Amino acid sequence: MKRINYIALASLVLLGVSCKKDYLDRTSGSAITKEVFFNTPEDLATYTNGLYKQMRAEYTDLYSDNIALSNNDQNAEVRTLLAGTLSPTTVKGWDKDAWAPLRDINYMLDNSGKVTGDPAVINHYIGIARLLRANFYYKMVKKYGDVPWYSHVMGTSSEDLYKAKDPRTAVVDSIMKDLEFAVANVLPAKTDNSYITKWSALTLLSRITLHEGTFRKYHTALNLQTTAPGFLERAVSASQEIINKGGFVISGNSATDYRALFSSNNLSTNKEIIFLQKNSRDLGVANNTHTVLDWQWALSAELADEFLMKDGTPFTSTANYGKKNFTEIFKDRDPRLAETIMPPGFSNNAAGTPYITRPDFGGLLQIKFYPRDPALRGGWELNYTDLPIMRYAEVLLINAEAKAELGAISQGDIDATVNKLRARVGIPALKIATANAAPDTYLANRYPTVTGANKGVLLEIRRERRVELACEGFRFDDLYRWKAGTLLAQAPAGMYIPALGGIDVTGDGSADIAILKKGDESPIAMLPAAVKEKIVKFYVNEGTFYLENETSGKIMFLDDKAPQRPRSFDESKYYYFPIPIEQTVLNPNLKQPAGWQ
Amino acid sequence: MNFFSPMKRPEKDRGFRIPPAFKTLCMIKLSTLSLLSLALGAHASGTAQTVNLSLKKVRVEKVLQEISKQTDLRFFYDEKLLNSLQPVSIHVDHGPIQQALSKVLKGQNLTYQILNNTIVISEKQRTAIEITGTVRDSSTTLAGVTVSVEGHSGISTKTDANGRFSLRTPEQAVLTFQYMGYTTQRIQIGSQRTLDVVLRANNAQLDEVVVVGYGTQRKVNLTGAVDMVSSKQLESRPIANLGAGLQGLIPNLNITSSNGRATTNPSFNVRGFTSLNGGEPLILVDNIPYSTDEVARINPNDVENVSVLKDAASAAIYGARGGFGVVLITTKKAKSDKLDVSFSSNVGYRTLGKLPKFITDPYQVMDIKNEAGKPLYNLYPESAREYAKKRSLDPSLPAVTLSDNGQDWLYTGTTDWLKEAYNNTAPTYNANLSIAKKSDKIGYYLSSDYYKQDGLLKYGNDVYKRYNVRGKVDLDVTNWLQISNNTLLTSTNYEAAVFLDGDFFWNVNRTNSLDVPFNPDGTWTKAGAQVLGALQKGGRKDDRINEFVTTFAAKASLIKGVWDLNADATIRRTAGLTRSYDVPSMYKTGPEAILTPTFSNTYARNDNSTTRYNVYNIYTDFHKEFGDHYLQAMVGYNQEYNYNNTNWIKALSLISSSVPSIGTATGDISKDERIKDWAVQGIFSRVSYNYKEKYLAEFNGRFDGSSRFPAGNRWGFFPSISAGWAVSKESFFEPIKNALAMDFLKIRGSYGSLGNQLFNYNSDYPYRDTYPYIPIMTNKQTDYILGNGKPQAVYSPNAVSDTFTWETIQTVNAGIDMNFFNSKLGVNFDKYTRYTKDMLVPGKVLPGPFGTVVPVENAGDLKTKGWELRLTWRDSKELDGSPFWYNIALTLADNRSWITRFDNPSKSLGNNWINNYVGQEIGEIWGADITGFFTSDADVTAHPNQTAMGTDDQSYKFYAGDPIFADRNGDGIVDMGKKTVDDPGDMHIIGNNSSRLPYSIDLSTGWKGFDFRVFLQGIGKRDWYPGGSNIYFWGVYAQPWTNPTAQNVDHWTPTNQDAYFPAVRAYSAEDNYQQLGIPNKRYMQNGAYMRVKNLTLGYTLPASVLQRLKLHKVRFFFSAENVFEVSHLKVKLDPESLGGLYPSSANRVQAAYPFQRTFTFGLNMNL
Repeated sequence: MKRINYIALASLVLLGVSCKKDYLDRTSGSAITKEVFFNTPEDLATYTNGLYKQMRAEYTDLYSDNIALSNNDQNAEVRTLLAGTLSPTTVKGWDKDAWAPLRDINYMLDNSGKVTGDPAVINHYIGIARLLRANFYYKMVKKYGDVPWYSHVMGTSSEDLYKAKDPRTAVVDSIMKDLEFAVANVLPAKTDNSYITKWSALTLLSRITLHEGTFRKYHTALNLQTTAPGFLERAVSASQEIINKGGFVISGNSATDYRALFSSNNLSTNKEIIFLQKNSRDLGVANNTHTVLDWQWALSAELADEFLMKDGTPFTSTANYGKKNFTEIFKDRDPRLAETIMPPGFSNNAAGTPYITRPDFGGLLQIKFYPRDPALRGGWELNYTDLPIMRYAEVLLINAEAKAELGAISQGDIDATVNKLRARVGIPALKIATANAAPDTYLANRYPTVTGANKGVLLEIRRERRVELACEGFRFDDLYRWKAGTLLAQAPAGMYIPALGGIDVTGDGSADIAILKKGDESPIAMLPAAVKEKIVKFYVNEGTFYLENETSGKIMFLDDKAPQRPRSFDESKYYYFPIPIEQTVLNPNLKQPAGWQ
Repeated sequence: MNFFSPMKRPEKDRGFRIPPAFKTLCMIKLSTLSLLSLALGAHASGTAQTVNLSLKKVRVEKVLQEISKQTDLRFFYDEKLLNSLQPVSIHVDHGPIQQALSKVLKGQNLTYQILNNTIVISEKQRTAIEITGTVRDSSTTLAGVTVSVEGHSGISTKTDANGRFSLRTPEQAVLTFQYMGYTTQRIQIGSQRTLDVVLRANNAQLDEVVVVGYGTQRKVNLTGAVDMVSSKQLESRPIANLGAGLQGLIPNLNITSSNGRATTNPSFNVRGFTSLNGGEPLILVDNIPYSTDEVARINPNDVENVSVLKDAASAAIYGARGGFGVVLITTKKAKSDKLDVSFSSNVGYRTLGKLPKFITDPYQVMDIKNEAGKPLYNLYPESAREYAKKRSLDPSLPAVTLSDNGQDWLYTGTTDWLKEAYNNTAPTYNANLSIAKKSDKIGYYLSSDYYKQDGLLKYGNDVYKRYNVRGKVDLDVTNWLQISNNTLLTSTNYEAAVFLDGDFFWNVNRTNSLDVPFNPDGTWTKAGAQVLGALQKGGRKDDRINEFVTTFAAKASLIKGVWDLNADATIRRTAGLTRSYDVPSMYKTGPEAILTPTFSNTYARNDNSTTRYNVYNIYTDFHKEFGDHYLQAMVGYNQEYNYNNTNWIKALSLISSSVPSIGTATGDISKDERIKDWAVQGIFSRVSYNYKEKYLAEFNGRFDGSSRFPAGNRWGFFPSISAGWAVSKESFFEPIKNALAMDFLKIRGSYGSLGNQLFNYNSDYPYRDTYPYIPIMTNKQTDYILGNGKPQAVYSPNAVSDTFTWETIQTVNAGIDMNFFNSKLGVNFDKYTRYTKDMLVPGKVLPGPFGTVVPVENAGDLKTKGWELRLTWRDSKELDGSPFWYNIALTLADNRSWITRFDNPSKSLGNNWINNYVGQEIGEIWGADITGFFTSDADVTAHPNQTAMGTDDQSYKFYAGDPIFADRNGDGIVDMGKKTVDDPGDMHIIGNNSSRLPYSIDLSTGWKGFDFRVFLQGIGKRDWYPGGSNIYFWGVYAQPWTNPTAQNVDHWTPTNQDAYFPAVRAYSAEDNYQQLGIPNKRYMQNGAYMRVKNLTLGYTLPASVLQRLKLHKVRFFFSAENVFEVSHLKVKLDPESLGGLYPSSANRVQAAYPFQRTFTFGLNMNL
């Protein structure tokens, strides 16, 4: 029985080894769960670090009337909307990805209760989360009007997933509560301006209240006009607080200083920046700003036209302003024009050879945000310029516009805001009396809903806003809140072409490109051989563009022309986007926004 | 006749006295001997003497001499009796002489008597003659064949390593030759004294022993659905890895590989669609679970056999992990006591398989792209097109010219980038050496293998190397305890350009044919640098995996032949290190331009992975015959623990690309560590019973626990029962048997309920495979700067369900096994229904505000019905004096699956038309009908509005030449309704992408040393729709800047309205479920195919030559893999690359490598 003893012994040893209690209880040595997290203010700091992805810098005005033609938005929903073919069947959005940022925020807010520590620090981080929630929700409100409000993370069986939308007013009230909490609790300067501070909270609050105030004022169908002044007043007070206490300034006193805001690699110390997106070669964090120039889009003639003359008079008041050559339009203009649209003779290389514009997208190439220093311009997602997410100029413009909309604006207010921006680039100051005495007719035609005693100055504030903040991502929202969506229905134009043949686009007097009709080279037959050899030829009606008057006029785009996709704007429904049909199937209580039912 | 005594003391034993008893004895037992004339003498005391022996592999005579030396004893025997005995090994430590003698004569037809000082050795049963001979099968000699005499159970021997035997037998004896897998042969001995016996392979393999879970079983007694292939079917041809070799051999063992890259490992599936969240068979090598990646790393030459347990009954012993079948791989061990040295080597040349074809004529390319670009872009200015036209007519014109400004090069090339990227052939090399030997106490098997595969890349080639060493030792410690060890060392190395990861093939395909790789001054062009320069000059990735697996096992016989106890312990340690770095390649855009790098941020990165895996099994097995009843019972315990740590570190900005290391990088550092572990425990049992091998019944069960479930739902019980009836053993069946020439008929049935604990759901869950029930927050460094650096951030966890537990897989199986014509024809058929219950799938689709992936819950049921058939025909006959043999094996299978429960009350199909709903057949494709093309823009308005079928890129508008979608429901508008099953608008089910009717045909034959094999494999039925952005099929319809495919040429124009493709329209095939991305029968492809998987021609040297060479076996062969295929695809893509059993976007099929055809010359040699 010796063998039995051996076996019994071996079995006992084995059993002893294997019958460990909780053998099947396993947790990772590297994973974090909420049980071990959300204990200290530092945990909240770590969590909010991940939320910053929700607020990044903009450097284009895609989808707006600042753009001539863009491949980038060919398939964008705004373009489809304007072509009249967007529908609940084809529209995207309202899916888990669209709502994921809210869940991320609510997850922290739901769990922050167990954090212990300095209440001021805890509330600072809660304030950041609530600020971002307000930002998220206001984007939803802008897109859909009414939306369901969720202040907690939803479980798989939460009834609220199937609730109907909450009215805009209720949602905006909740947004305001979040914003006011943030303004009251986010600390003025935690470390530096790459973090959210009290000042960025105030800026967002001003931005949203200005939007909501003007939206309610101009979208009279909502019947909320009476509530508009409250929002505008808060926009004034919030922006005033930044002006009075923030310590920000309009930096510099030249066009070069203006340029530096959008194309330099260190804005940390720039006193105009309220909230900064840093980029760094060393850290491998980069942006894609080099694509603004001549990659997928160009800017519109309409935007170019709105820049004033150097003497402060409207370009649109000059004779034949619409028939000026590419080289002529830059003469004696607001210097910001040449910082926004690539001027003739611009060179992006060390040799200094001029960059030759192409008429495919209209020829008015965006240069704002283009990194000038080749060392900062490494290619696709490899540009290392810092980008402003919020800057002081916007605050000044909010302050001026809100006051003007309230009808309570003084010359002093204008001097403290708009005129600071004009002064930097050497444009004469805006005078309320002059502006109101004779409101600019060109602008008045564009914004017919602007009326009253401050009509003139309000129109000039809108001009200043469009010019100063061009390509910073505000234009589309501005048109929507001003109820000026019809401007999107106008077919955009590019540069003016006086006649078929060679055209000088570098300002050296000799033709660089030629616009021709296919099969007819006669318009350039007379050019010297040397010029002809280097000239770049483009043919009308062949690729993307045609000329307004067949053989002359502004460059227009075939895409906007029948049978392609002529634009229209249906005032009764286009201010909101439809919700994908499958979402209304999943939640039968979810109704389409006005006009889309 | 020999008679000897110790030499040292010759005189001591002189003077014999023959005791009276001896005479009598001699008279009776030694009648033929003349030994009586010899004087014998012995001391009675001799029997008490002890001896001390330790001899290995010596002749019996030598042992006797040794005993004689040590004692006073002498031996007395007939020389002839000892001549034919096999050498013996003996170890006696001061044991009595009787013990020594018993050992020496054990198993022989011999006995002994001690008479005083003399030991007389005599036969137990009288023999008269000696028979010698060789035993072979149709191709080679057979070692270890048991040769015995009928009616004389004590007389037997085994053939030696050369198949030779020698045996003394009585006159007129009947010899039987028995060998596993072969039909037993009887030979009546007449006057012949030498025999040349040819054994026929046993067709039905009924005597075959099949490996089942924790044991083996005779095939005749199987009640479950089990299939097995032996090494024979693998070793005759060169295979890159085991999976590739098994493809097509077993019906419903579906093996798929998505592309031809050396590191792409085939995936395994048993019996088709398993569960919505995937589910793979459990693969075990020598009873230890292996992943498909690990299986791909083992040496295919080590494999003895592969068993597939398909139904619940046979897999239930593996409980929660056998739900989707079990693949049991057993490695070789020593078989005979002759040293078996086997060597094989082969060199293969791989050539490129099917590649998509593109047009490269510059003018044609520009024309079609320009047409595609309108009105969005003007892709090619007039001047460019003019030159292209000239160059198209006169190809001698340069492809590279200067632009108008004289600064930039312009390219008007005709580059076939696939040809630029790949070489036509690449070598593969394999060498394998194994040594095995088995003696009565110890057996060992040692093998080593080297495999090298060069990639096909023209620039910066990739190379895969694999090294394998295995050592197996079996040791009989005592007569009741056997201890063994099985140790495997594996090392793999794959070195390649980092650019090869990701969408290499896709990117090469997308590179413009008008671009050329090199500038006139020899520098890379931008396109060349981005695609090829990145391979040649860019970063590299060196991936090394070292693996160590060792198993210690012990087997104790508690009651010999009745009750055994087995225990094994295995440790696996895997270490992987991947070192990678990336540096740019340089290009120029003009003669005076500076060299520009393709990117600026260099980096080095190390990826480390360490795995500890421990497996323990202990089980005891009782088996005994009680008259006609046979009972076997087994119970056991299994425990496994796995720990994995993966971590990586990446540093930016290398000081020098010649010393790429994280240590020499100066920039930002990012890193991560992920620790995962899991454990399982299980108690399992099997009871099987049969009566006269006629009525069979079996029960299997397992109680399993897994750490992957929350505490309350951790354990599950998985039982199965099965029964079989060998009808052919019934006497009433005799007439039918005789009438049909049927030898064997068995019907089987089984039912079982198994579990599934492993599921592959959303990869957003970082710890999904180990702690799927714990809401784990991810933490990683941000990719943006806050303050002075990129801080760490912690993110919200994905939602998890707190109630989920096992999936349960119930299978009902019925099978029939038949043999006809002396077992030449074998028929096996199985039919089954598998119910996958409580599938862990994303629960019901939730409204968007849920904000994250819907967590998996036990939310769905699935039903799979299928069958499988295997037909084999094996025969051999004498042809021109030599045996001619041929085998035919056909396999055919099928299965279909339907969703039987799913919480989707609105039956919403979602934006991608793939949401699950009750009644859905897996693989179904929703689509619309295309009835033709619009003849003009006016024609568009004359038809019902079909805006809903358009593409966003064209703002859902249609023009002349665009497809006309049918208004199937006649409501005057073509749309997708509510995208629900009940309201799908004009959409309907137009096909199914499941692979149906997989089949294989295996023909092999041999004669006079030649052997030949043809192996065909295919899929009988499958629809494949080239989805959005499948640029290989759609070309410019996907994106206008991609290369126009050869098939794009036949497109609609006002003058060619009858074309295959519609008018060229940019992005019309870019997105799924938009315009051409909406599946329709017009562009649906027939995904069925038949492929000549393998052709092998071998020649084995004849025995006469081998004897001169002193070799046992030498075989030369030529083998061709993936020789050609019959495919119905309109695009030249390999039909196997279209994706496996699961629906996938299949957009970027082919990854880095197309499939290859392989031509191999090889040598197998046994010493």
